[in-house]
This record gives sequence, C-alpha cells and structure tokens, in this order.
Amino acid sequence: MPESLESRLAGALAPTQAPRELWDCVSAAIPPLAPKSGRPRWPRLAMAAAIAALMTGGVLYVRAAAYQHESAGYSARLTAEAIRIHQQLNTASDGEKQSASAYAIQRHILDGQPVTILSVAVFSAAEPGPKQVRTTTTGALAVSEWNSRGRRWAMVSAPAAHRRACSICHHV
Amino acid sequence: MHPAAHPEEQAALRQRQQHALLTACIGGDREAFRDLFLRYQDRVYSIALHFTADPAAAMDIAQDVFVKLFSSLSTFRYESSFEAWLFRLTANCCHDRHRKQSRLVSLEESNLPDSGNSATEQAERLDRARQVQRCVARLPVDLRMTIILRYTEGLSYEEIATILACPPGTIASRLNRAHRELAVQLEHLKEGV
Repeated sequence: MPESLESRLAGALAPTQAPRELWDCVSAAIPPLAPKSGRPRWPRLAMAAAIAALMTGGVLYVRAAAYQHESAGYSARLTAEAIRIHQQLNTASDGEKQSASAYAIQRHILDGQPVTILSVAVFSAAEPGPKQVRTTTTGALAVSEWNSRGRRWAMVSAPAAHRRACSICHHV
Repeated sequence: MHPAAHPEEQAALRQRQQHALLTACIGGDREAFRDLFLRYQDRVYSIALHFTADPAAAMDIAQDVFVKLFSSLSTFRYESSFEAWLFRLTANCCHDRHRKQSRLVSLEESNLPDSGNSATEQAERLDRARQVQRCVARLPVDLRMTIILRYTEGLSYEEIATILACPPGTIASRLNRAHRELAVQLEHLKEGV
C-alpha cells in the first residue's frame, strides 16, 4: 500500500538525538551561573586560549579586544587580564618566532549587535594571508576573507567540524 | 510518581516539578540548568536539524538557543507553556540563522550525508527519508517551520499558532501549501514505496 505523505513526513522528521558534545558547547558559552559571585567567565576562557596559543610554541602576544560591548568596564577588565596573561607567558616562553594572539570577541560579532562577550578566540599570526581562521572556545569557527570590499566573515562550521579543522583548537 | 495516580494528578505533579526546575535555573543552579538542557536538547536539536538539513548548523542553532534560554529565563512569565516559549526561541534562532545566511559565505558542503549505494531495504528507507528531509529543507521558511513543528513535535494547529504568533487559520493554510508543494516534489517516491 502506498505510504501517505503524512506518514512519510512523520517518519522523516521524527525527533533525533542531539550530539553528546552539545552540552560542552553550551556550558562553555554560558556566562557564570552564580550571579552572586560577580566573577565573569572570561578569565578562564582567556587563559585557555592563551595556553592553547602557548602550545603552538614560541612567544605569545596576547591582545584583548571587546567590540561594541555595552559595558566599557567589562572590556577594561578583560584587557587587564589579558595583559597579565601576556606577561606570565612571555616570561615562560622561549622566544620562538611563532606568535599567537588571544582575542576576546563577541559571539555575535557578525550581527554587529552589542552582546555579552561569550568567547575567546585564538588565532595564529603564523598563518597570515587572505584567510585567517578565528576559533572560539564556544565552538564557532569563522574565516575572514579579504576581497575588494574589505574583510568579510564567513561562519564555517559548528564545534565538531571546528575541532577537526582547527589545529590550534585541537590542542585545547 | 505513584503508578496509580490519575492523569490529572500526574500532569499537576509534572508541572510542579518543572516550575521547581525553572526556579532553580533562574536562581543560578548549574545542575538544574543541565537537567533542563537534558530534557529538551533532542527536541531543540531536531527542530534545528530538520530546518537546516545540516548537522553542523543545527549544533550552532541549538547552542544559541540554550545560551539565550539561560540568559532570558528570568523573563519567562508562565503566560504560555514553557515548551511553547522554548520552541518560539528555537524558531527565532532558526529564522535568525536563515537571515544571516544571506550575508555569509558557506565554505562547506555540509548537508545531510548521502547513504551511498543502498543495498538493503533499511538503507533504501533511510535514503527516502533523506530525500524527504531535503525537500522540507527547501521549503520557504514559514512553511518549513510549520511543517517541522507539526511533524517533529506533533503539535496541534493551536499550539503551533501560539509558538509562531499567528492565527490557527494561517497555520492550516501553511500546512496545506506545504503539503501541496511536498506532494509534487516527492511524487517520484510513490513508485518506490
């Protein structure tokens, strides 16, 4: 007997299981859950990013930037923390040429909306060129491309593909 | 839950448990938020997956939904069911993603994987299901979300109307149009069933 459209749709669109790593991505992206502590999550993220960069070897240059954030204080604290990490890691580093930067970015920088900083990106200055991979601890991966109209960002993939594609993040 | 409890009592108990869980989440209880996540992760992910036909994009959307859920949970006023509220958030994230796509360059061919040569009946069924999923993913956004909420979540016209903030008549019309479009696109599958 021919299968009806409704039953075919019900079969094809049945609920499916979410990937197991989804919670890791969500928990890495949400801000601190204890509002009373008043301690933002970014120092941990910045440190993780800095360590990841350090593992790629060499001198570490850490810069922090918060784009279009509604709270200037937040940005200032982030910068101070990044400078501290910078100093610590520079002291420990062996002066190799390769460098890496840790950036605090907005998760939704592409939207141009002021939102809470949720992630820290690491990218390697050893990979200059028209394409630059920006990896975030929330799992988003964006690639910047230069064209005649300037820089354009392209979201590439979600966390799983990101980890496969990103040699720096692979170490985190 | 007591096995002999009446359905009404069971529903009331579930509602009280959910209320307690939401209250704990709003209070900053991380474990409670994880519980909430575990309850709804598959449903949110499934909607996103069927909307995008792309597992990687579905992961991104699901992540966004739960991050937004966490930051906006305190604004939930119990004026509608929590599920309706969550699915509205999911639908909005799917629509946001769709809008954003026009400004982004896709660098990956990351649609649902092909099954390759399907020798067995099961593989053929899977292949047919994927064809249906691809056709659904090509529907206009409004029709697509309506179809997904109807078939993935099994929601009534009224429930879908609440989530998508439009009259039930509009939902009926969208489903009708979606069925017509899908019937045409899936005509070739009739022979294979």
